[in-house]
Amino acid sequence: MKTKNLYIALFLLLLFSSCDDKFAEINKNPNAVTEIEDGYLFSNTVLNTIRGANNTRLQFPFGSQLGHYYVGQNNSMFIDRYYDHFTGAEYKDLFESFYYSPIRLVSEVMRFTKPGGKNENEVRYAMARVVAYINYARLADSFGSVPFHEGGLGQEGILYPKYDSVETIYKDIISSLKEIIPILQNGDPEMGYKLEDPLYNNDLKKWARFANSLRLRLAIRARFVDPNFANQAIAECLALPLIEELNQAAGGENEDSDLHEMGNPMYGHWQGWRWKMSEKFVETLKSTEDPRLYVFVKPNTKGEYLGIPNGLSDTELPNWVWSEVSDPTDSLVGKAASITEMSAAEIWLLRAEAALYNIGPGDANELYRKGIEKSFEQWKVTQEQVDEYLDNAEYANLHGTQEQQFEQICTQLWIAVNPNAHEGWANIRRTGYPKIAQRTEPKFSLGVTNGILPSRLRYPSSEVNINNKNYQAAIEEQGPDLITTHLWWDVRD
Amino acid sequence: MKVRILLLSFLFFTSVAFAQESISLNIKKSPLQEVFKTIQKKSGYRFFYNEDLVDINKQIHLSVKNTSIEKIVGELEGQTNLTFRLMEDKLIVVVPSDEVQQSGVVTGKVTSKTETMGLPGVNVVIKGTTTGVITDIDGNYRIEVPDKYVILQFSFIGFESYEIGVSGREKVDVVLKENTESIDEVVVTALNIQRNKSSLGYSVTQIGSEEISKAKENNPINSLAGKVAGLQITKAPTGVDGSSRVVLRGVSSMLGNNRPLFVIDGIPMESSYGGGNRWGGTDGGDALSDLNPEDIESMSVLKGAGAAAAYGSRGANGVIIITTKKGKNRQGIGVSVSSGFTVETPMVTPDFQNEYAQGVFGRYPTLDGDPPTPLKDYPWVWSYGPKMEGQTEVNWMGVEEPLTPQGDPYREFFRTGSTFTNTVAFNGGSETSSFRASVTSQNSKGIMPNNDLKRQTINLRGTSQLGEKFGIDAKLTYIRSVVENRPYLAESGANIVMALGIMPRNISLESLKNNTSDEHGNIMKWNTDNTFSNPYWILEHKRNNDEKHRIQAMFQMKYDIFDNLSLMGRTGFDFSNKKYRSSEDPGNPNVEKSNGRMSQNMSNGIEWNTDVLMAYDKQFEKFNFNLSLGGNYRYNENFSMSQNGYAMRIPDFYHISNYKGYSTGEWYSKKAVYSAYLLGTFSYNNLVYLDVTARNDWSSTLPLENNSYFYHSENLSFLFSDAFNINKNILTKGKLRASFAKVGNDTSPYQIEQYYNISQTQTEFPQASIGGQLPYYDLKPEETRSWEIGTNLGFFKNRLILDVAYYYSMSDNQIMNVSLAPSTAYSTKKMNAGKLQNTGLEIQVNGNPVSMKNGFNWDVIVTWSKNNSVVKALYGDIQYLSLADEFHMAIEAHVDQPYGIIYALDYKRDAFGNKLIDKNGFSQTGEWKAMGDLNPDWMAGITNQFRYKDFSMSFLIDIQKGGDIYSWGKAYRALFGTSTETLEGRAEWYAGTGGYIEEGIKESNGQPNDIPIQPVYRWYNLYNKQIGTEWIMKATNVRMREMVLGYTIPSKWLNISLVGRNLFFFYKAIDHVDPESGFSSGNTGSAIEHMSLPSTSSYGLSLKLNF
Repeated sequence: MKTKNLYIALFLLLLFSSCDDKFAEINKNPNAVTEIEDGYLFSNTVLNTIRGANNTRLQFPFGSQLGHYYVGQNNSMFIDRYYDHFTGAEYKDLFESFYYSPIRLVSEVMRFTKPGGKNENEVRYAMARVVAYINYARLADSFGSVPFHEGGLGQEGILYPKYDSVETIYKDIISSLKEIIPILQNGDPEMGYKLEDPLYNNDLKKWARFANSLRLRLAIRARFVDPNFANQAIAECLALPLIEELNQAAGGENEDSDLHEMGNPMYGHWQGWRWKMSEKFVETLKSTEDPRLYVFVKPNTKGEYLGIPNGLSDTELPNWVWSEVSDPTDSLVGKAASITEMSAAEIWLLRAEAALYNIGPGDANELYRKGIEKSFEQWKVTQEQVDEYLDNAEYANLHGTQEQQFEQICTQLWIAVNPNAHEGWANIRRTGYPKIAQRTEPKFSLGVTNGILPSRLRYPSSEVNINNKNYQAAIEEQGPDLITTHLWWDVRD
Repeated sequence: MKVRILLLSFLFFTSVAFAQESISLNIKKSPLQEVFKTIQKKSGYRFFYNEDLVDINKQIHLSVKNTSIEKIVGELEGQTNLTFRLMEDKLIVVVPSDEVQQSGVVTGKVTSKTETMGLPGVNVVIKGTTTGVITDIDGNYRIEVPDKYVILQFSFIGFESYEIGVSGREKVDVVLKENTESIDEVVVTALNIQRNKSSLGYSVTQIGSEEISKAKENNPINSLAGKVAGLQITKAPTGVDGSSRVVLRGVSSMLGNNRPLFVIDGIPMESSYGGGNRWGGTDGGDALSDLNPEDIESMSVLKGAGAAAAYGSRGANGVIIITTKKGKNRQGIGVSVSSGFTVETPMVTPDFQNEYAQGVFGRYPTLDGDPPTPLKDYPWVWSYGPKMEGQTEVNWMGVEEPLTPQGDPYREFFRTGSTFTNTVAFNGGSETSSFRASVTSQNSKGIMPNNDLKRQTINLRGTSQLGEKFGIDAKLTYIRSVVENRPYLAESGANIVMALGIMPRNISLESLKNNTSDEHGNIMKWNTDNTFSNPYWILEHKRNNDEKHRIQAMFQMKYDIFDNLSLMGRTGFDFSNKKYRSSEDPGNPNVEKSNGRMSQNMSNGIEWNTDVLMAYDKQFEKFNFNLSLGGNYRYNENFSMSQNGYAMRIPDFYHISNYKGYSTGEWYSKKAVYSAYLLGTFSYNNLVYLDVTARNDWSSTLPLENNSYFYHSENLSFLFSDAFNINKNILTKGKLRASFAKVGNDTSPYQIEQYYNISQTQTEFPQASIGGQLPYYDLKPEETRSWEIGTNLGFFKNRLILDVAYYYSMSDNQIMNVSLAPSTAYSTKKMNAGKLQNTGLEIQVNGNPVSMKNGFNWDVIVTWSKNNSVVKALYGDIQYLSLADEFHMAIEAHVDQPYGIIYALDYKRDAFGNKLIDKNGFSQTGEWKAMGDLNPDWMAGITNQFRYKDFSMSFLIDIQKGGDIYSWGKAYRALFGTSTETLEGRAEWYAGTGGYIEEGIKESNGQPNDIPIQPVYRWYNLYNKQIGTEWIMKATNVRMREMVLGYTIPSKWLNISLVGRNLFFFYKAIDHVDPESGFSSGNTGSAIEHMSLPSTSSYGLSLKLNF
């Protein structure tokens, strides 16, 4: 029998000798590559950050409804009604679209360009980190604690990433940006992404302004919960160049195009969902005689500017005629409407806030007026109207108590950040302005928050299921996984 | 050279000399006949003679001691005028000496109990020689014999073989006994080896051509439903050419493909499920639906891994071996023509309420817009409006009309489907060659008004014996099929059923049909939600078609090197080319910002298999030994190109140049597997059989260091009834069998490296992306170990046959895409993870309760099976594996639970299970928990066949006990108020006398709930609170699966059958839908109904003519 085995072995050998070489050839994937330039990934992560599904989902249905800019129809209305049953759907899609798109790409860019990486490059690494931080800050502002230090590192074998608290994420980003800003400011453009930077076309000075402005935004967000830490960071930011002009703003211009890549990505959502203007937003613009009313709001069939309240109940809704409620204009949702992640107006208004509380230099009212002016400029309000408003309008100057002045700044900030509606929701949570009243029955739906504006979103079922231990640890520290749990920086009544 | 040495070693290994036997006898004056008996008793030699022999009673005197049989018959020859011939198997033929050398011709006719006109194709062989002929179409044979005392052997598949001595006669007629009721069934097993079923240590069920072709299913696999224990077939209601979910003995791979391997004439074919998912898509059919039932000779279902181990990795889910027809030895050319015409009508449709119109709270919608029309938003598009009493209201078109119920939109919208099939087949052959050629044309119309199929099949098959030792067999099949408008499924605006199920009860289909587009070319409908379209707009403006060309070819050579050593080589491929195009016209705001789109795809796929098989056969004494050694090379290559265009420029021109934006795609993949295998069969005295298989595969898809995997199986069969001489009148045949097998599995190409994809972009920035799946650099083959035991008992001369099997299988090291936490930035990682166990019991009973002399015959076949699957392990910290999800439910795998548990939110309940009702009378959301299981408790099929002379009648009742299905369609219809159950409490509420009272107890005081609520809120509350309990229903049903009435004209040339399939339910636990209404044929597809097309009944007439 032994000889028999030998013969079988010989027979097989004869048949299959040299098949390993062939196998390697056969299993070589002709559809994709195993090596890539980091620039190819960088341009993609930047485009994704600005116009990817992560951002469009963040703006709608979440930011724009919870920020009280728009009112949605059909299923998206549940979010507006303060329900929270989306852990397997909308929350999941949002959370995943961040990690699967910009974070996956930027983590790989960072892996390549970091010290010791295969394409080590200080400038590129700095640019990539800024992109990563915008995304992590958005995630932290929406969900709270998320995997940050260990997040996005599947490629490096971290399959169960630990969560970092919002405080850790904020403080880390704020201190990291401090290191990064000088690298960008003094960086050699030759080392940057000459052909692969859709945001600033490799203008490193603009990158430095953007990084510093991001740092200011986050530091201001932290100023109520940790004034010592925040105030120092704010002061540092104000000493360095910030976004001041429209051409320094972070965002994307779009063409009047039907092509996916060229047109405003929100246009498709709008076509599908046809959300309406919120009463809160329309009434605020009307009551302050703000010329941006005509920029943002379309008149209804009767020529009126009419919003609909957010969160109406099923019994109230039939009393409204949907077609009589104003639509957003093409400036906001049209094919050519631009996307803004950070506007010059936002930064001027944040500087006004800092000045109002003597954390930063300058005159609060001057800075406030500058913010309004920049916003008007951004929305192409005519110079006549700008002058008219700044000279005559009641709200063109800060007045009243410090708190009233703060409310004015916050209201202008809320108007100015649009269409970055998620930022509007974050500022409402941070400052309490504009005031969003607790809802009452039967006109409104109370949802699961008893009618109080939600403070965060819940974690997706996929994290709860797969990364359960770390999830448990996170909610133990942060509080229950509910939309009523306040985030670290959300401490003001 | 090596091969030669190997051969020699086999010869050495098996050549053993015959032992000489010696006999002692002492016989004084006995008739010759008695002498024969004595010798037989002492030595086992049997004498074969004609009773008419003159010398048979001649007195013999015989006294010998330790003498060989040769000498004894020499002695007898001396005392008589007879010649004795020693044959193999201890057989001695006794012939009158004077007739010994008279050669001549023997003719005769072979018939059977049912085939009284003659049985064609029967093998007639002179025993001990290779000389033989085959009976002609009328069952007649003519054979030249060297002398008139030879023995003729008659054999034919499906009949017991029969031997008869010619004994000097010139005409020998034979009646063969069918073995449909016999245990000695010959079945096709792995590698197309025909085996006696008793000799197998594993379970095999074979279905013959008649069963397959008479059922006239578009997809021949569906005709196996209910006929094979352990085989679960669920036909998805997805239009003509739809695929079927086929699972043998439970799901074994949690996330992988669980379809059995299909092998046609020795060539495996690619077969995956047809597509379609929760968010829409279409079912592209499966490879099986391309097969032409008329060309199939038999389908053999090899259930366990033991049976399928010879197919290695791909046999883990069982194997279905399809053998196609060959030509037969006959005089002249045989022509058979068969025609079938089948009509198809919707079977189960939902029950609609006919009392309340569009609106909510009993109010008709407010009017809005120009011209004023009823509001098109929620909740106004629900059917919770006013009672329809003929009052005048403005309809969705802005025209005043009376409010009246509009009948059943399903019955009105769907048409009667039909299938017209014609086959012409020619066959012929001689003793050495045969051919068969067939052409089939099929035209089908689905119940969806624009869903059509046209298919042509040409099949050629030829065999030839070139000389004594060399034979060839070749086949070529060409199939062309064109399908128009496969229906869109599930949660998509293109799914027409979505709209039919929820449209307000007062809106007429007629008005939708006459008003599909407005003057701007935009879709017109009564609602704003993109999920529900105007069905007629979809019919006109969202179209798809595909054209498939498929070629299957096979060439096989067999060379008999020696009598007992043969070498076979076979090569064959399954090639398909598919062109798919879909387009959607501008006008739908949900699609490309109303700009329309198109996509088209061209793909080629080939699987090529080449086998070399050497078989060696040796018998010595009571031992039989058979060894096959083979190698296989399998090569798969797939290529596809796609174009997607969006934003159409000019209307009605579907060309890529006519779209403003476009993207293209390309995919290419290759895979190769080398295998070497060994099959051995050892038997002793036809009592004990041992089959072993060993196989090693080398796959290109696995890392080089882990790319080899070995599997084996051992199968034992023991015919204890023969061994222990049990009373044959009671227990005619008894067999015990046992089988063990280990099989492995590889994966798909390109899973073991990280790849970057270059993005197509029209921006100035180069871009690339990274796939969401992390590779696993040390992937190992997966492994399934299984065993099975079984028995096969034939009672009362096999008029009652019982076949029982119990099996166990454990799949380990499963290669799967394990879901990762999204915060890793990757969605899955290819890993070896998870364990899944299946155990089950299968019982088949074949009975022949009545068999009367006048020809009346009644057969009963009962199959029953039960499978238990248990997930034994998952991966790492994963709490569960999500297999599928739907609105408000998910199908999950949890450790220590069955595979495929339905999870949903239940009502909030107290400790006794009572629903807790809140202060306003509403039920509340409770726990997310296991609420159902997609696996049936058991399945059964009962077939009754009656035959009387030329008439036959059979029906198959198919039973499923347990298993659950989640019906989201039902949830939608309730939410929208169109279904009958939403009527409850409406009249009372509007009259102010009550309303819907939720069953349960009040949470506040524990008293039974008596708070009436407005009925619309009852259903809205369930939707709003995501309570899934109401939509999970038992799939238990008893179905009349098939009825066939047949009549054969006595001269045999014409057979007429009336066939009905899926006719009605004797019982069905679920309302509104068919329990077989899943939208996909994937692993969990059968458990989710999502506004599926209605299931259908079909009625057909089939005609067969033979010339």
